[in-house]
Amino acid sequence: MHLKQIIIAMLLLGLQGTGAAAQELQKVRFMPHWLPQAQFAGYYIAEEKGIYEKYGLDVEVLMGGPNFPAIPVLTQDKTDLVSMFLSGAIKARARGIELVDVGQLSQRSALMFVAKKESGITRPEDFQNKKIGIWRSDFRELPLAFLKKYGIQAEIVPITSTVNLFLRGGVDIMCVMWYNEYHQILNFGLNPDEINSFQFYDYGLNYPEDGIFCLESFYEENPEACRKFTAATIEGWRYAFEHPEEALDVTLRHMEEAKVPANRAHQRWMLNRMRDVFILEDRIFNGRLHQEDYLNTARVLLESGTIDQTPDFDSFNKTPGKNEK
Amino acid sequence: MKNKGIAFKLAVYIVGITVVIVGLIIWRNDTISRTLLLKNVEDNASNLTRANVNKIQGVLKSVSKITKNEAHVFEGFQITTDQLKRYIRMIVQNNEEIFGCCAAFEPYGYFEDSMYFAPYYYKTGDSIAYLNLNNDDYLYIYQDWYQIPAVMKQAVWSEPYFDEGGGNILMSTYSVPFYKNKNGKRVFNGVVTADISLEWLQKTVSDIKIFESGYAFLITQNGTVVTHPVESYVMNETIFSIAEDTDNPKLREVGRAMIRGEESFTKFRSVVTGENSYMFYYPLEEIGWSMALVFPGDELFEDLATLNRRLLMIGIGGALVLLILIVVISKRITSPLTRLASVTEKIGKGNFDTNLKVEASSREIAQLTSSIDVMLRELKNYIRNLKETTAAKEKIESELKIAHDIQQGIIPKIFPPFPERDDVDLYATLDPARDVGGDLYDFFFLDDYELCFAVGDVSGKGVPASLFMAISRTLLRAKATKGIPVNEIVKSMNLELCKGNENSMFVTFFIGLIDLKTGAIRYCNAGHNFPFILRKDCTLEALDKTHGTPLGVFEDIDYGMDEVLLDPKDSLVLYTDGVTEAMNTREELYDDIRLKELLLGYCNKCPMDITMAIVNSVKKFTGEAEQSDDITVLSLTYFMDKSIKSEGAKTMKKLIIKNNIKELDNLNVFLEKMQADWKLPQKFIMNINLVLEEMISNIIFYGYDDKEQHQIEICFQREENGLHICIMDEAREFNPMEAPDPADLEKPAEERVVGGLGIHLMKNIMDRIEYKRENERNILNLYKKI
Repeated sequence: MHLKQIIIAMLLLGLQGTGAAAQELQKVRFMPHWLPQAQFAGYYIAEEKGIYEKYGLDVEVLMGGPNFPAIPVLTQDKTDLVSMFLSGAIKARARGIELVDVGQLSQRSALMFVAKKESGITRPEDFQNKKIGIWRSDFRELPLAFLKKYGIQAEIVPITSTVNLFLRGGVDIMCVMWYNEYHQILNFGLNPDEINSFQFYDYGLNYPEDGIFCLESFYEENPEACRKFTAATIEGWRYAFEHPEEALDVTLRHMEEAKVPANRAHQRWMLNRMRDVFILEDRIFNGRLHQEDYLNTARVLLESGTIDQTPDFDSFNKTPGKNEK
Repeated sequence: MKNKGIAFKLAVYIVGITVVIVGLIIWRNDTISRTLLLKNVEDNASNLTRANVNKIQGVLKSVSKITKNEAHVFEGFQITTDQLKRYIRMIVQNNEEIFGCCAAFEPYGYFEDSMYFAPYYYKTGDSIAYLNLNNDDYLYIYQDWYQIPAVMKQAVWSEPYFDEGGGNILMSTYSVPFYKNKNGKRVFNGVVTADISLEWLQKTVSDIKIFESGYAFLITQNGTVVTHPVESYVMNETIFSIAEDTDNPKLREVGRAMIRGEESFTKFRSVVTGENSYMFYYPLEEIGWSMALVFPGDELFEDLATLNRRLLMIGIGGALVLLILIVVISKRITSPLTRLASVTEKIGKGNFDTNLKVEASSREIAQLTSSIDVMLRELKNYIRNLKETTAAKEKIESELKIAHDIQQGIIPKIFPPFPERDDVDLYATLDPARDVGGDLYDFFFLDDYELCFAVGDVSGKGVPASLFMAISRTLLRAKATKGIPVNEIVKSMNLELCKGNENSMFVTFFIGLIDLKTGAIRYCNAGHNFPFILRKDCTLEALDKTHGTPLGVFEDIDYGMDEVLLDPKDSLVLYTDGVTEAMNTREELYDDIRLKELLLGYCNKCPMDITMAIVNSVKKFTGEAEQSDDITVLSLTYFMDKSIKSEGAKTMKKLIIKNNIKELDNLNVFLEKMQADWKLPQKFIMNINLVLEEMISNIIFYGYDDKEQHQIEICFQREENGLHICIMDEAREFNPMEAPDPADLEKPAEERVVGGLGIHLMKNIMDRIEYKRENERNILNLYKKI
């Protein structure tokens, strides 16, 4: 090759690179479904470390929380993408809101029942006729399904936010999130060996939770942006799991900005548990929604009468990876 | 340490022990003080905490009482809505510590047509505001302050929380359930609540100060931090989350004890400073919370540390003063000692006129000085005596030496004693235990063929023994004459020795007369050791006959005698008990057995070898042990005299001498005898003597390169008309025939060629001279006519 040709080739390559960098980043809005905490560390770190930009996205992470329920914010076009529980998304779709799943991060349920060891409750059968605290949330069908599976008749005490009723002995059993309330209980002075816990996952009730959703219309117009957003988010999570203290720093900063009480030990616990529910030994962490998980979750909702028909999986599932028929 | 001075030792021991004692005092003082201080601090902390807890509980109790009363009112009386509201408002208004008050009813518990009813009055600025909490978003029935007492049917204090309606203040709510009668049953109808602001509580707790950086903090029954100097902990952290974040399991245990309502004084690592701290915690039973007082340990013990530092300085200073004092005092004590030491050193070197005036600084030193003074005087006396004694001893020793020389002079010591004879050879030695001994030996010819030999051992040792020995020997020479039987010789000797023997000394005695023509020995043994005959076939015989008591014991005693025959080459060995009774360091005797064994190895050896072998063997045996007795050995070997069988043999004589110039005396004696035997002219022998002396002294002086002993053999052959002389030596090769004849006889003797005169004489005197070198030997044949 002649020198001249080499120079030309180099110039061409250089121009090409400049052209790519100069390409406009696509603006995307995303809202997590709760106040800032380590449950969303992957999004924060992907934004912080420029991972979204690397994927050609200009992502705006909005403030979520009790005042910003996902569905209305989405339908009012205040955001493009949201995170929410799979069960919530299925419910919404069954009610006519055309949600699609573009990235199923959680692969297993973090839900669990806890009972104080001193209560003598060691197996699900012992729940019979006990007082059980369950949130007044939109996924309460899932713990109820657990009880139904074991034919438990119990007094259900609806709970709003704290674990105090359980701690004071007002209820015998309480449904908690592994990554959140369970650790709160530990941090209120109960030792793990003083608690009997029942992970839904261990009892064959696997309802994946956190996923990335958007309206079908948005997806049809921006399939590539959705794909990139999921991929970038997963990269963000991987980074967060590999650099937990950095991820915690970023998360705590977001919490501080939102004036949310911050507790590093609790956020560290939460981040570690997110890794446990995102990355399973026998599954690739790529954001795929498994059909059996979808059908299990939908069946619980159907049986509890929350939905009257199971939305079609294929039109709901826009996650990466392929499902075997 | 061993060679250090007294001052040094005193200083080390006393100062060392003092330092240890002071150290122990400081250490003990420290531990006791610490315990007392801690106890004191614990009491203080306990009092301070209790006082504050009581103050807080007073407020909490009054609030709980008011609220409980309120519940009673609602339960016991039918009141209108207006009355209810006014009553609630009044409570808020009249109670400073109550921030807000509410009566929250069960759904449809108050109005049958309205689900929620919860009239709430609260302070806002200077006024009191009203709010019905029947808000669909708020849903009070699910709030902790309502739900927990409702479910548990008991009054509870809520966890602290930030009020969202009012001025965003931190508050806690006391909720009391109340009931109503429904169809004769007492059913739960709602809760009455009183909110208290926690600001006053936070202020009360944060105002508690102890030492410089001590502080107090408060946790709820969940462990939530309500007040703490670290602002970010408040309401964000629990004591357990802090323990987790700082990896401090001890703190978690403390937290669990605190929320269990326990009280304790404990040591722990501060999460604020990371230093060792002390903590006292005490429960607020009314509300289930716990208050703790924390203070750092180094601050607590700061005064004690200062005190210890000062004590240490005083200790070190005291030790230094003590050190100086000890050095000064001990110098004063020891300086006379040092002077005494130098004086005694002078005395030791023999200077007895040293002045012993030492200024005694103490009674002990004075004592020591006078003792040394006495010692010095005694020493002087002793040395004077010693000098006298030594002089006397030296005199005796020199006399003893003379006596030794005389005694040794008595005994024949020229060996071989009969160089001209080839029918007998003899060798003897006497080794006295002290300077002069009591042993004796002697031998001499009675005629040409009869040899007398004797060995004796005088009782005792030293000068008396040697004198007795000298007498015995003289008597032997006097009494032993040709023709007197051997037993008669002994008898007459005994007779003489008994005369005037006042000291009762005696001598064991063996005497033998050997006839050299036959080899027959007649002998008499007067109490002496049995001699041995060493036959030429290497057998050993003891002459074990005794013929009477030792000489000098009994005057009128007859002695017997015996006869034994020696064959040619048989040897006879005589000895004294100095041989067989020689003792080694282990006190073992040399004894007969060893002697016999030794002798059997020496058959067919010459007498000198046998004799020396015995002496050396005994010396080797005794080793380092002191010689206790005289050692005397006499050996004799018999050879058949050839001259008896052939007359020709009588015409030949032989002399062997050593390369010692004194041996020339033997040559003279030999030549005198030869002249008598062969009846040679006096002048002839004189010439021969002259030549031989010259030639042999040449050999002795110049012939040998070494200092070793060598033999020179001289043979004489009587010929019809003259004499044939042959000289054989191992000296370096020298042919006198080739030596230049020194014509310069006129020159002074010193300038002439070495040996030149002798060769000149020889050539002039001798008729014929022949020289040859054979087997490394010079052989010089000389012929002289008569």
